[in-house]
Amino acid sequence: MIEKLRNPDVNKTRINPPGALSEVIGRIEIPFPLSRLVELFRFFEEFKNKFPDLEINFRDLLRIFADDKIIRHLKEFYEYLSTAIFNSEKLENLKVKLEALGEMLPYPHKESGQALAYVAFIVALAALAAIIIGFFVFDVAAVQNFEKLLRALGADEETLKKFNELVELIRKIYQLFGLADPLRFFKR
Amino acid sequence: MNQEKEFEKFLNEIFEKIPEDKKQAFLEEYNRLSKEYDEKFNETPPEKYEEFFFSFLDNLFEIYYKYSRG
Repeated sequence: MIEKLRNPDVNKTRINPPGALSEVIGRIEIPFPLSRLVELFRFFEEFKNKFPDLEINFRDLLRIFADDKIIRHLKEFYEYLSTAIFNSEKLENLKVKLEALGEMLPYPHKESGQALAYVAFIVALAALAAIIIGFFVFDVAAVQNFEKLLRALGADEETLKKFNELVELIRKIYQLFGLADPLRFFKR
Repeated sequence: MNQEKEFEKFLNEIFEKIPEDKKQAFLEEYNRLSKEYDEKFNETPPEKYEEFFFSFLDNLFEIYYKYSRG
């Protein structure tokens, strides 16, 4: 039976999943453990608070993490970013990688004023993906390289301030997932 | 813990994060969403179940985001 008793008032302390969802969950492959959904919600909430202009929805975020190809590119991008000492050639290569990623990500507004926010978004995703996959070393040099990239792309002080807030956010996410077993995110 | 129980736990954890004075409004919207998806389910073919699930999460997040800020 699909219909379930719904909650008549707020005094009931527990809420029920829709019956339809209970049916569906048992029949599909979910590409992440449901136990991590709360963290994903909180991450995305915090992310939206910091970057309210980014028009990406939660479904898109999940799709990114469910797509091996995108994850692989993000990891590659992050590794490049965290190890490169930037010169003009490397920066150009980085832009090419960003553009390639941009084509893959479901981000609708890549024009003008939002370009830097878009870069920050990809950097955040790359870092988060790397955390999840387990290749992330969050050291000072990596942060400095992020900053260098943003400066080279013409970021102003306000953007850099936002970027540093983002770094703090990534640090929190890093702490959230921990180092002991980074792959546990994808384990059921 | 099975998937359904895990999902129920998740729903209640996010409900707990809603400020007390907004819980009633959240619940009303959640129940509306829940009803809408129960109704949609009958018209959803099995090959669309995954999309159905992600779409629900997306809508749920929007409600959560609307009410979670104090």
